[in-house]
Amino acid sequence: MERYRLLKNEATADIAFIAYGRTLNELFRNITIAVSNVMVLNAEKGGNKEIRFRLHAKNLDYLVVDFINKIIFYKDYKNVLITDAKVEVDKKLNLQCIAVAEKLEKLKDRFLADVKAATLHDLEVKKQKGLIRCKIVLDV
Amino acid sequence: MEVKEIRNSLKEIDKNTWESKKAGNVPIRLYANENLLKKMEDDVFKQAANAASLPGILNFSYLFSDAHIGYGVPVGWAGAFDLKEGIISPGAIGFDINCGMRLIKTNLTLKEVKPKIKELIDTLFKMVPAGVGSNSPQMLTKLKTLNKSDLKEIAEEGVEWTVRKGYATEEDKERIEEQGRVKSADFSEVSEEAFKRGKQQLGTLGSGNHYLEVQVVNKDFDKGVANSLDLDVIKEQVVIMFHTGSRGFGHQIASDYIKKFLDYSSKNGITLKDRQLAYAPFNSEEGQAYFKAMSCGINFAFVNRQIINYQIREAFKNTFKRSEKDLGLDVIYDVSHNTAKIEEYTVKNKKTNVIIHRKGATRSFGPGNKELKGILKKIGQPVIVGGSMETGSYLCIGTKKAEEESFGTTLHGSGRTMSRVAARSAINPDKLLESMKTKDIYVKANSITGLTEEGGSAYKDINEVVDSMDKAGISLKILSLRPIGNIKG
Repeated sequence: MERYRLLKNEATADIAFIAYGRTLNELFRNITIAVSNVMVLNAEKGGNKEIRFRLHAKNLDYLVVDFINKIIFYKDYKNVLITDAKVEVDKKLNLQCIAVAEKLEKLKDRFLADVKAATLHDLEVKKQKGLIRCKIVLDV
Repeated sequence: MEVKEIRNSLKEIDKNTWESKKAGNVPIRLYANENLLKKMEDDVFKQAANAASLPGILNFSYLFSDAHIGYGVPVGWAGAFDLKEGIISPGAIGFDINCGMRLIKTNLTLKEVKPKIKELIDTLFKMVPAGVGSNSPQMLTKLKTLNKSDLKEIAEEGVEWTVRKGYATEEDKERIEEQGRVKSADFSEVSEEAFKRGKQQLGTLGSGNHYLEVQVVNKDFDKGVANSLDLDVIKEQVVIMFHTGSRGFGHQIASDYIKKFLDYSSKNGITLKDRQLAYAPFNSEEGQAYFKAMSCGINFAFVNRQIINYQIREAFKNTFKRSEKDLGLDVIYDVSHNTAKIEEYTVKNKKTNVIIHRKGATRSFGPGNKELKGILKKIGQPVIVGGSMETGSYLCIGTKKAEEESFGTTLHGSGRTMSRVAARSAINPDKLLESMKTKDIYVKANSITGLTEEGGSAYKDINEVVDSMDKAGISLKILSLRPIGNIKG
C-alpha cells in the first residue's frame, strides 16, 4: 500500500495529496509523512525530538485539518518539522499523537515548499476497498 | 443555476467587461478579454456564483483577468457587502491576510547596478530571510525578542510602530495603502497560536509565490504619470519590487476563524455551498471579532513589508557605499491583496459604506480620491502587478471608472495556470535556470523545486492579463518592468 500520492491536476496555486491507511491511526501517520515530504525532500530521514499533543474534533474532516494545522504550528513556533508520528484516534475522535520532529535548520538543504494551512477545499475522507483515503489541499 | 448556464449567459456589455445572468443574489461581472475568459476553469464561475449567493452582496460578484480557482472564492475576485445585511468571510479574503506588493524606486541605472548584481542579490538574500522556517533577520536583534505587548502594538498600530522604532519615515507612510494602518485592529481577538506563529517572522519574505526582485524600467505607457512618480526619468532606471504578506500570523487568524464560522453556521442552521466559504453576519459578535483580528493581520503585513523595506535600504547602502538620499530609495507604493475593509461608494445613487472583500485583487482608486496624498491625489493610486520571475511585472494606475464600477478594485498578478505538482514535472529546473541566465537574470533561491514551481509557464501571459484591465479602463498601464535579479524562498 502506498502511503500517499501527490495530485497533479488539483489546486491551481498549491499542493494536494491523497493519503491512505488501513486504519485511522495509520491514515494520520501517513498524512504526517505526506505533509513533511511536501515541505522537505526525504523528510522521513530526520528527527530526534519528541512532541506530544492531543486533539479533538467533532468530525473526521475537521480532525484532519486540525492535525495538519498542528504540524504547521510547530514548524513556525518551535522551528521543527514533524516527520513521523504515532497516532491513536478513538471512536469519539480524540486524537493522541507522539511525534518525531527535526530542527528546520538541519533540513534547510532539502526544503521544497512551506505549508501554511490545511484547507477544507474538496476535502474528502472515505473508506474504499478496505482502505481509508483522505484527499486534502494544502495552502503553500 | 448550473455552471455551464452561468458561463453561457456571459455577455460583453462593454470592452472586456462581461456580465452573467443573476447567479444567486447578483450576477457575475468579469473583466477579461475573450481568450482569457475561454481559458478560465469552470470552477472559477462555480465559486463566483457561490459568492453571488452570499447574504447582502451588492451589485456583482466580481472576477478579474487573473482569476483562477481559490478556496471558497477564486483568487482574482472581489465582492462588496452591505454593512447591515451582509457578511464577512475568511474564505473571501484569503489565508495570507494582506499579502501585497511594494515597489521602491532608486536613482541607480542598469549600468551602475549590473556589475554589482550578484553582490547585491547575495546581500539582500542574507538580510531578508526567505523560505521554510525563516525567522526575523539576525541583525535586527530587537525583533528577535518580541513579547505579546510588542506584538499587540505592531498589530494595532501598523506602520506607525515602525516609524516610532526607526524602521520607516513619515514619507513612507503616505505611500502605503491606508497609510499602513487599519484602525479596526483589536489584538484581543487574536489567538495565542497566531501570536506564537507570528512573533519570529517579522521582516521575512516566506516562500511559495513570495519574492523580491531587482528590476529595470522596460517600457513606458504613460510617461507623464511615470515621471510624476520619479520613474523613467533616467534611462534604464532600477527599481525593487517584493511580494509578501502576514506570514504564519495571518494564516493562523484565517484558520482560527474558518473553524469558528463553521461552528456559527451549524449553530445557526446556515447551509453552506462550500465549507471554505463559511461566514458570519458582519454585524454579529463573531463577524466583528474576525474583522478586528483580520485587521491585526493587515497591520502585521504592512509592518512585515516595512521591515523588509528597511533591510533593502541597508543592503543597497552596503553594496553601493552611498547614502540613502543619494540612492533615492523612496517607496513608490504598497498595495494590499487579501483584505476586507470598510470603504465608501455610491450604491443605488446613495453614498454608502460597504465591507469590500478583495481576494487576490488590488484596490484601484482614481485621481481625486480622498484616501490619496500628495501627487497621488492628482494621478491616482499606483497598482503594482507582479508577474512571474521570467516574464516581468507592471506598474499601473487606478481609475475613477474602477471606483464607479468595481468598488475600486482591479487585478493583482498574472494568475496561475497549473498546480505546483504539475509545474514540477512540466518545467525542467536546468532549462529554467539556463533560460534565466540567457535573460541575464541572477537568481538566488532556497529551493530549486520552489523556483521551478514559479516558472513563467505556470502563469498566464501577464501582458494579456494587464492589457485586459487597461482596455476595460479599470487600471491603466504606466510602465512594464523586467527583472535582473530575483530572490525566492
